[in-house]
Order: sequence, then structure tokens, then C-alpha cells
Amino acid sequence: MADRLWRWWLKFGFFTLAGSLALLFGWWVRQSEGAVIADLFAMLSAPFVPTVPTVAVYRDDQTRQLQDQLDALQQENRQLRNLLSIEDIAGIRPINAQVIGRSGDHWWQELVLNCGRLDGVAVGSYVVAQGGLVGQVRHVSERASRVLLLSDPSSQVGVMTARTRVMGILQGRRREKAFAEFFEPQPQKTGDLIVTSGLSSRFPPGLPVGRITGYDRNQAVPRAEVAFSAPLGRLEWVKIYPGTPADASLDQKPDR
Amino acid sequence: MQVSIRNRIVNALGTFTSALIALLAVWAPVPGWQLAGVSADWPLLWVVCWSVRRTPLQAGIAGLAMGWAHDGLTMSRPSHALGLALAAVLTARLEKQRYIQEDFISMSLITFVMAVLSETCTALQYWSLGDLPAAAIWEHHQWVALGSALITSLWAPLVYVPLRWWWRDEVP
Repeated sequence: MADRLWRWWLKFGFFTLAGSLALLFGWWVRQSEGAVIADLFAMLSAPFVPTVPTVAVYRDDQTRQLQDQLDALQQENRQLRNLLSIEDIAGIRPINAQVIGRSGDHWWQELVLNCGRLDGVAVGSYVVAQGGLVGQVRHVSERASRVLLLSDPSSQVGVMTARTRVMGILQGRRREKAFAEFFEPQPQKTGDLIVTSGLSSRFPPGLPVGRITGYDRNQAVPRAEVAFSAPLGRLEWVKIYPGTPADASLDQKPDR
Repeated sequence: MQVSIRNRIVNALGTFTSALIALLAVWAPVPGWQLAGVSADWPLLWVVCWSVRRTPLQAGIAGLAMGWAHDGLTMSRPSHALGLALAAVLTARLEKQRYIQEDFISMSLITFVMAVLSETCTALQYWSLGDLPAAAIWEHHQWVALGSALITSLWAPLVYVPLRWWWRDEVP
């Protein structure tokens, strides 16, 4: 018996062992949502990431001037919001993060960022780039985090037009442009700014999302084509806002 | 016996490292890796290279493990494991029946077919889940399947040659 077992081991033992280990590893990566691979990727890509990319941008005089104007407006906005006792989102300090990776396959619109739990990023943080909203952090490991972009079809955001205050829902299409469906058939103009609405539980209200590039009122539901303000396809650095609105849990859709 | 076991362990470690590199390459935004916004499917390419000269069982296990790991890097619903395992088993069957000679051109051809197959599996799963409108899924599938198949099959010989060299003792 022992002899037969030994012969079996000599013949198939290594294969069984290696196969089981491979399956265990695969399953473990799946269950941990790629945390170890993400950290490894962040460490390996560290030498290729420029260390001070954002400073150069800010050094530009014009940018600084605009920044000052923005600060002044934000300050004014904060005071007005306080007057109206609306939740203040401007006081949160953002984390600057570098984009180190793109979508893991052709079906998800994702970014990998070089900041993780060690930098204070939490699941549900929202991510903003120059121009506007980018998406929301879905997975965090020690040194990396992964962001689901607004352009992903599973990402639905409550939005409204800044001019007419008509509410709607924006859904990504994996392209540069997304569709927004409005609850009221009020005509919108091309070029109207779209911002997150107060109905969105995942993002604070008032963040710029994009601009209307086309409007179709002949549909059953009035629908507009929206070009994102942030260049989602070629982002290099983003700001993560760790503070999220009160109920920013990922209640939208279970992942599994 | 000692030497043989050591060789096997070194071989296995090399194989594991190459699989890990294939997984890491998934995220790497290297310019020139993309064709019309679609980049190569590295895990699939690795699985096809592994399966070409192995038994369907070995191929299937590798496909399943790689698929699960790829799930971890993206989203686990729908799973990549189904498409990759299917592609791996089919690749192993192909070679066994000796319908196709093993060379660069046929490697590219096999990779092309398997990439289309694996993307179709993903699309079918999306379709059966019903979260997205069917028209959008199939429109996206056309674009992704063709793009992924083209760019992945172009890379196939470059990945296959070093891997084949590494496995030269294992699968003569």
C-alpha cells in the first residue's frame, strides 16, 4: 500500500501540489481583490513615477492667479454655505495621488492610484482631477487604491444642470461621453454645465462633472450627451477627498 | 532525485514569476501597448502559451487559477475564470490532435481565436446578468473582441519564445 502511494506520489504528487497551490493562489488573489498585486504594482512602478509632477503645474503664474481666484470664491462659497447651514465640503484636505495604472480588462473603467490605506485613503472616497469629478475609490490596499471611473456603465451618479437645476442620472458608456437622463422634459442647451446633485448619496453636491454636448428630447425620457470635464482617458494625477458624505457607502450595487 | 526536485521547484518558481508579470502587466499604462484603446490581454496570452503543449487538465487548472487572480484585479462578477479555463482547455486539445503545427504564425492564430472566445464568454456573462442593456454589451463586445484579439496575437510570439525556452525540459 505504502509502496503504491509512494509511486503515485512520484508520478502525480508534484503536479497535484503545484496545481493546488496555483488554484489556492488564484482564489486568494480573487478574495483579497488583488490587494497584494496592487501593492506590488505600486512598489514596482514607484521608480517610474515622477516625484514632483504637481508642483511644476502650480508654479505657472497664471495657474497661481486662477488658484487665488478659486480660493477666494471657495472662501465666499463656504461663508454662504455656512449661512445656509449646508454641509461644508471645501474644508477637507485632499490627498494628491499619481495615476499608476489603467483598467484591468476591457470591460471595467478603472484607475490604479499610488496612495492607499497608509496615506489615509478609504473606500468610498471621491476622486477629482483638474476639470471635475473622476470617480470613487472602490478598493484600497496598503499602498494602492483603485477608482471606478464615471465612464463605467455600472457607475450611476445623480446629477443636475447648473443653469436650470433639472435633476437627472448620469451613466457611463466606456467612452469619452456619457448619457444623462433627466426627470423633467425641460430643454437643455449645449454647453450647459452638469454638476452632482444633492440626491447623489455617493458624492457631495455641486461637483462639476461635464458639459452637455447634445440633447435629444424625442426620447421617452429626455436624454443628453455629456462630455466629461476631466480628461478621464489621460489622467496623470488626481486628488482624493477622503471625507465622504454621511451615507457614502457603496449601496448602489453589490459586487458579487 | 534531489536534483530533479530542485529543478522542478526552480521551474515552478520561474513559471509563477512569469504568471505574476502577466498579472502586473494588466495595469501597466505603457504607451504603445494599446490599439484603439484596447490593450493586450496578458493573462490570456500567458494561459495560451502554457496550454499549448500540456494536457487539458493542466491547462484547465492554470486557466482557472489565472482567471480567479484576474478577477481579483478587476471585478469578480462576471468571472474571467470561465473564459480563460475554456480557452486553456481548448488550446490543449488543439495541439493534442495535431491539427496545427507549432510555430509563431499558428501561435498568433490560436491566441487570436482564444481572445475572441474569452471576450465572448465575458460578454455572455454580462448578458445573462442583465445589469446592462444587451445592445450596449454587444456593441462593446465587437470592438473589444476584435481589438483585443489583434493586439494580443501580435504580442504572442514575443511572449511565447521566452516561455517556451523556460519550459524546454519540462515539455520537450
